[in-house]
Amino acid sequence: MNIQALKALLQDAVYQILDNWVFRILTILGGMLVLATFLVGFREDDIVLVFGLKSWSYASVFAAFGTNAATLPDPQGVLINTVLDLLFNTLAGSVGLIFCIAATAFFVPQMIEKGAADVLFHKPLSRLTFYLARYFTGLLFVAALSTLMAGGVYLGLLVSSGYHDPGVLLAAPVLTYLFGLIFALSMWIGVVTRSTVASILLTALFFSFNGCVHYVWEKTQEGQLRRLDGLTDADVAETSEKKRPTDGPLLTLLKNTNAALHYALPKTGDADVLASKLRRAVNRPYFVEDGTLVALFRLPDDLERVDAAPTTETSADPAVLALLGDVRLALRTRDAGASYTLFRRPSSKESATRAGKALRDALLEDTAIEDVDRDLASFGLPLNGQSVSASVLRWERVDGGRVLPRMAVLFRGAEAKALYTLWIEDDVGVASSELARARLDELLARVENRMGLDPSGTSYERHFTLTAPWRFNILFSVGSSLAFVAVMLLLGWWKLARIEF
Amino acid sequence: MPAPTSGAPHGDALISVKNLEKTYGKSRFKRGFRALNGVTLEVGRGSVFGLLGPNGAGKTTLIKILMGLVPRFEGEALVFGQPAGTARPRTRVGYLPEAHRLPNYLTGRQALVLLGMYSGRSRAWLQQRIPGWIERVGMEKSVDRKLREYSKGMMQRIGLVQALVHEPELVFLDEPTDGVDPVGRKVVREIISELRGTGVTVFINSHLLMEVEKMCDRVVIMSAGKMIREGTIEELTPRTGRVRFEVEPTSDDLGAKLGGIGANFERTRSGFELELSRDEQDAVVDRLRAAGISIRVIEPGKLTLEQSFIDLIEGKRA
Repeated sequence: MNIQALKALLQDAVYQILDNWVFRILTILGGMLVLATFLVGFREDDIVLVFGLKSWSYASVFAAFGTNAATLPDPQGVLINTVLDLLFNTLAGSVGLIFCIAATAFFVPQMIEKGAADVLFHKPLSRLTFYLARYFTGLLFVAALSTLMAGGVYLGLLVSSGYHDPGVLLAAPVLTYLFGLIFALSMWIGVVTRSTVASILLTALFFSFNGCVHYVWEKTQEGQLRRLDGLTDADVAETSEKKRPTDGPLLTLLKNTNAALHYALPKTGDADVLASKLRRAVNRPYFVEDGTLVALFRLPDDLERVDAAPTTETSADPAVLALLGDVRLALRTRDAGASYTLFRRPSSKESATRAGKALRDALLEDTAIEDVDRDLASFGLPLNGQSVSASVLRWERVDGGRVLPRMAVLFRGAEAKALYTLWIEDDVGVASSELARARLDELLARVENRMGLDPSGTSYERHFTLTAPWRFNILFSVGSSLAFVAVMLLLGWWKLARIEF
Repeated sequence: MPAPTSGAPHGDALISVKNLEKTYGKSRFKRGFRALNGVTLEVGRGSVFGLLGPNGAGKTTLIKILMGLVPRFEGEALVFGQPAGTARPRTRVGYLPEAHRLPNYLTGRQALVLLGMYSGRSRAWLQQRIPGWIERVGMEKSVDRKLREYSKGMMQRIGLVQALVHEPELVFLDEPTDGVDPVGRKVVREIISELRGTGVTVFINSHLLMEVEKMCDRVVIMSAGKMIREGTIEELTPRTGRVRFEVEPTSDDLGAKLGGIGANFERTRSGFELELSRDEQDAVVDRLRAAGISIRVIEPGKLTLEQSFIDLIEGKRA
């Protein structure tokens, strides 16, 4: 193929897209959504309209939905994530995608109409070239729209909300990828049926069916996922067997069919997960524990990370240290007055309350500690809406007339079997026990609303990584989906090459 | 029967077709429809060919095989010495399909540029030549409108230009004057005449036999998937032996005045017709002049292409 023909194909794609009325409508709609992100700003403390013309506090907005904003680690992030999810997953990723399929489904049937095919296919280019050109025209169609939306929303959030998240831009390639998976099938249907209507209807039907296949498969993988969460086979067997009897032959057949379909069909549902993973990779929390989702979303300004994490009690008492486990994160105030240490130890069943009680007993072994207060509290709030129950211990160490407040907040990570302790020590001290509690509350407040569970969705979504076993592996998902695309394109070309015009 | 060869020595053929057969819809359970049944043809450079035949004769199938639009067939079909369907020879070919549909999201000018580029010409090269073509076919006012707004005649004119704009050496025109007004038909005839002058070989498939007669040097007639006749227009439209006279004044006793010269005398509105030999023709002129009758026209009668075609198809002539 010569360079002139290539240029012509590209030019043809641009003309075809610009002439498409659905493209124009979607561009206007996308532009309106982008405009909205410029007009509505999600600031640190409030939501503002038209750069401050009117504003609402997060407390009042969340209260309207029955949520206490004060318990959120990052209300601005929560709201922006909700908006982004609505824009890119619900609107663009589902409704928008169907619109795009409807707008591009005629590409192939129109190309192979009698008279039109004669004009094109007598040119010195292969039918495969024209077929692939139509495929890439479709991709260009969606890439242009999604880039406009993602770029516009990114700029809108940056300008109006001061929210810098380059991960938003990744929505464009992911939406194009998702469309590419479906469009290959739409084109094949177009070649076989030579009908635009059939292509739209059958593709929409397939899109729904495909979603169901993967949803059901995901549900059947719960046992595997729980093993990956750290449960032993015995644990899994124990809980699973209690839930349901052994599968009969029909159910086994259905399961196997479902699995075969899942592996063969494009994993469209994984595109959303991939998008959020990519966003997370670009805009990660300051600290996050991959297995348990425990995260420190932002490092408070007056804290810094340190390598060592010496704590008075743990240095002195190995029994206490054993109850805390390994150090995962150590922070210190910039004036070196107080330290924060996050410990983690494996624990499959022990509750935070029971662990708190055990720690209190161990601390009381130390003669320098007279008493330990033990409370229950809700620590942080994950973005998926499940609160973390924490057991909070407060005590004091008296040193030369100074009272040194101490605190331990014990909580469990999400699903994975680990128990965390956030250990806080104040070495500046206060003059009296009355002031100690206030000091501890002040120290805790610095991190409490910045910690929580990282929103990584379902168990499957969390285990969908590059290093996961093949069935949950990103490379397998993308690879097998692209293989489906290749097969569809080959089948389409095979059929097209045999049509006698 | 040797392959009909037209216009070029053997081996230098633009088109070479041997025992070409094509059956549509053939399967294990169906015999299908045989569109071509052993067609053999060689075409050289620089002629204008008329491809004639009744509906279903196989004309369009033959062209489509040569254009690579019908990929499966039996026999041999070469274009510029290479198998039909391969891309390379198609850079040197122009094609105006019957009832063609150009991409309606393009303007006329955009379509001409893109289709020309598909044939390997650069944008700059095309942009230099397209205005001349547009003027030639009288489309200056409409060329920047979307094709979906075009009338049939306008579409046909742009279609003709797209077949020619990249300066092909071999052109297939399927019903080129279909939907075109008389002025446009004259332009089409002129363009084809110019192509002949530049050594381009043109194949015209048309049911308008008068057009074919005016435009073509040679004619190939097909019927039922076979080539039944190939020759020049002269060969296919032989003299009938009758001569038509237009005279003034006309009178009822014209036949008597000729005194029995010739045969099958027949009166016409402005004179008469009869069968004559060359010597008898001089004698008729002498008799008419002697009778004081003015001779306006003497025209030897010829078979029209249409009559010749009908006779061939109906099996009246070998």
